[in-house]
Order: sequence, then structure tokens, then C-alpha cells
Amino acid sequence: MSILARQFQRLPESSRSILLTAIYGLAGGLAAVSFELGINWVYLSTFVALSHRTLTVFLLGTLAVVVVCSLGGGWLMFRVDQNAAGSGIPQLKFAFWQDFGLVRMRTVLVKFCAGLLHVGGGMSLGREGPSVFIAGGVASELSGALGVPKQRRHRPAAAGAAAGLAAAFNTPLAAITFVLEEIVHDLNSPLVGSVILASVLGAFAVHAIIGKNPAFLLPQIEGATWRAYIGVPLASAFASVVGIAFQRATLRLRLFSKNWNGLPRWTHPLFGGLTVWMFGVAIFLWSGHLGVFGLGYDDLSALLHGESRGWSLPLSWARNGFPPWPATAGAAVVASSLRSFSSAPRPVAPLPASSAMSSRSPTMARPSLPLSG
Amino acid sequence: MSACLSAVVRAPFTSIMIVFEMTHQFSLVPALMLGALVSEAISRGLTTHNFYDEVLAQDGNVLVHVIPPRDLRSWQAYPVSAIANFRPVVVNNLAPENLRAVLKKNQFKRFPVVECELLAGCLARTEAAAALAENRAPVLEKAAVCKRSHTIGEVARILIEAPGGFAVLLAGDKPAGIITLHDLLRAQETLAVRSTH
Repeated sequence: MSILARQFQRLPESSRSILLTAIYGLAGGLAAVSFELGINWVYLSTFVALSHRTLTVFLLGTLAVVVVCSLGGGWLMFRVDQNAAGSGIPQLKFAFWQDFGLVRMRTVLVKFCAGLLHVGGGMSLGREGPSVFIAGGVASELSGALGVPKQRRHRPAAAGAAAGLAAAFNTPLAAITFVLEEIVHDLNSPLVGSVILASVLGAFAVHAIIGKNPAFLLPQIEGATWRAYIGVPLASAFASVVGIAFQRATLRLRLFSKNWNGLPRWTHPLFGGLTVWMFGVAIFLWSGHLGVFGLGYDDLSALLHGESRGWSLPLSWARNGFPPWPATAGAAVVASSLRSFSSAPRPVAPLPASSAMSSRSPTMARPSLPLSG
Repeated sequence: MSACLSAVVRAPFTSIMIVFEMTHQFSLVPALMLGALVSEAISRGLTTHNFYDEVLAQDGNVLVHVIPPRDLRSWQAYPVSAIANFRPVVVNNLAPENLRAVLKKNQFKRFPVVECELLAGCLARTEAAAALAENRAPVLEKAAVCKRSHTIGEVARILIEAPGGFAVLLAGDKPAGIITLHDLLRAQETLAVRSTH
């Protein structure tokens, strides 16, 4: 690699900067796509496969999967590398500002493996946090191999994070705004060019390997009526209050778990895992849907289509920790993890505004990666 | 979804763009913008930081200490605790042996003097050396003081007036740290380097 680094250093500054950013973008995008494929493989091999077996096998099998994945992920993050604990986004943000964007490859690898176990192993968590961290970390480490010193890793970390988010959800524009708003804290940052280029390449990576369809299905919205626009602020206010309640409950439970020394810290994720398992099994027995486990975009798509309304509300509660269940799955998962889980919960509220808009035929979601049986 | 995300993450543009891109529905955009506006207002009213910053703060990592300010006004509005030294070398005993040991061990030009946990004044190195040579008690200067709640802009004005560019940070009546002109310049230099990435 040192030969390669020397070759890169010989290039003119402007060309080198563009070429390096392109490499960060592709590497970050491929890392995020690999993570997504890995999660889906674990999920399909466990929960989906078990859902086609007898009820006893499903119950015992999913319990074993949850126990093994919770403890395995916890062990990786508390015994192998504690820097890999947490959602990923705050940790990358702190590395960006505190450590000049430097993220160690060991931390990235632990995050990748623990993320596969936790997200693929049924925890009701999102993949965006780990995807952003892994992609940013891969780009940061790769830049070191290409001759970028430790104190100049801001650009690779930001570019990798943008590529990772763009690839994780096929959302290049959101990846740009997210990195500038949340990581860099400046929409007018000099890093904007690198972030845009990396984001585009991250989207190309996911288009080439998985496809360019949206993350989930939504009925085609033809146009909103004035009545719908009057409802939007009310729905938004409700969703905001729910989100803030979720945030507070999660932080309180996280603090409680962090201060609790009753059991070794690496075992704490088990409590979150078992909570999710109980909710997930209850919803599966009632509705036949696996949406509480794993990512659950198929079930979210069905919910947004107005299908199976009987299970949609409890499913939504169980996934996201809505009041009046302050210790429901999403919050419990994060709380029991202290900093141990590899990803944060996704506070996905229902979309009440869309139901007030007229709908037509559904758009297509990514068909190549069925996430539920 | 967009409003909930916006309230938790405090990233309104992202919350609009991500739902638009995840659904491929352009006609949702006006509603998403309206939702982001409402959620931003509610979020700012009910919380002080977003979810990610709260998580970092819970782990003892306060971002205001590491993120450079956007402009001079923001920099001057930072709390002085962001750059103050909370582990200063303090003189608790003015006995000659103790003064000699302190001067030998440290190269600082001024030291806060604390008696019975209260600030007694400020001891200049030159005065301490002279007192030891003339075998007399050192004369203490009146220390410039500031509070932890002061901003960097306020403390900068105090430091300009203070003898030797030295001020003691008080928590209540008790000294909690010190701040010097050198601390201020070093922090500004660090921020200048960081902001260039």
C-alpha cells in the first residue's frame, strides 16, 4: 500500500482530491451495501426460515437466535472493542470533531459483525447508524492507506458517511443534507463537493448491486386537498411529540442501564432482545407478520397501504416504543444496550397525513430483497 | 415519519429529503416541508439538544467543547468552561519551603492563592521569588475573577484589564479553575486549525 500511497502523492493536488473522494465514495457505498446484504442474509436464514416451520420450532428457534445474537453482539462490543458500541452516528460525529475523522479498522470490523448479529438477529433497530459509521470508518482507514495523515481524515470520514447513507437507503440527496446538517454542522461547508461526489457514488453502488427502487412501498399520491394540508400540522405535531417522548424514554432507560451493575455489561443487550422477542412473537402469532424483528420495511409498506389494519397499530407500538408503553421494544432495546448495541432504534411514526391524501396504485419497492416471509 | 425524525434528529432538510427519496413521491414534498416546520418548532421548544447529542452528553462527550464556532459572535457566546483550566496549580501555603517547591516544580507566572478554600489573591512569580530572597511574606495581588456562567466574550474583557492576563474562575465563592490570555489565544488557534479541516 505504501507504493500506492506514494503514487497518489505524486498526482496534482486537485486531481488527487477528486480521485481520493471517488474512492472513499465507492468504498463507503460498497461497505454499506455489504452490511445490508449481510443483515438480510442473517434475517432470512433465521427468522424467515423459522417462520415456515412448526410453531414450537419457531418459538424455540427465534428465542435461541435472539439470545445468541444479543449476547454475541454484546460480547463483541464490551469485550473486543468498546469503541464500536452505540448507534454509530454520534460516535462518528465525535470522531469527526475530536479525532480529526480518525476511525480504527478494528472498530469498524467489530461494528460490522455486531451489527449483523443485532440487526439481522431480530433486534428492532435500524441499519442507518451502523451503515454511516462503517462507511465513514472504511473511508477513514482507506485514506490512511493512501497516505492521508491521521489529522486530516475529516474529508474521508464525511465522504464515507454520505456514501454509506446514500447506499443504505438509496437516498443520495438525504445523505448530502444529513452529513452537512448532522455531522459537519454547516450547510455551507467546504466539504460539500466531496460529500456530493461520494453520495452519488454510494447511490451508484447500491443501484448496481441491489437496484434503484425505493426503500418501501407507498401508495401513489396524486395530490393533496386543502383538508389534507390542514391535517398535516396536527399530524406533524402529534408525531413530533411522540418522537420527543420516545427520545426521553430511551435516554432515561439508557442511563438506568448504564448505571446498573447487577450483571456484566455485555449481557445487558439480552434484556432488550428478550423484550423484542416477546413483542415479536405476540405480533407474529396474532397477525402472521414478522415486522417487529429486523428491519420490517415490507410490513411498513403494507401498513402505509392500509392493509391489515388490525395489526398495524400494535406493530407500530411494539416497533417504536410509543406511549403509553414507555418500556416497549424500541426504547428497551437501546436502554438495555447502554452503549452496547450497534444501532439506534428508528423512531418511525405512522404517516397520518398520507391517509388524508388520495391514493392510487402502489409504487414498487426493492423486490430483490424480501425482508419478510 | 418526517416530522418524527425531524423532532428527534433536528435535521429538517434531511427529514424532508429522506422520506421523499424513500418513497419516490414528489407530491409529498409540500406536506413534508410543512411537517418539518412544525416539528422543528416543537422540538426546539421541548428539547435542548437532538438525540445524538444527548447520547454523547450522557457519555460525557459535550460537543460544544470540540465543535468550532461558526463565527466570532458564536465564539464569544461560548461558555468560558469550554477553554478554562480546571486543574490549576494552587498555592495553599505561603511558607517559604512550600513556595520554593512550587516555584521549582512549575514555570507559571502567576498562581491563585487559596486559604480555607476561599480565594485569597494572586501570587506573581516575581513577587514570590523576591519575597523568598528578602526573607519576607509575599504580597498578594487582587485576583481578577469570573464566574463559570460567563461567556468567552465577557471573560476576554476581564482578562484585558486583569494584571498579567490572569483570572480565577469561581464556582460560588470557591475557586474552581483559572483562565489566562494564553488559554484564550491557544483555543482560538486550535479552532482556526480545525475549521480549515
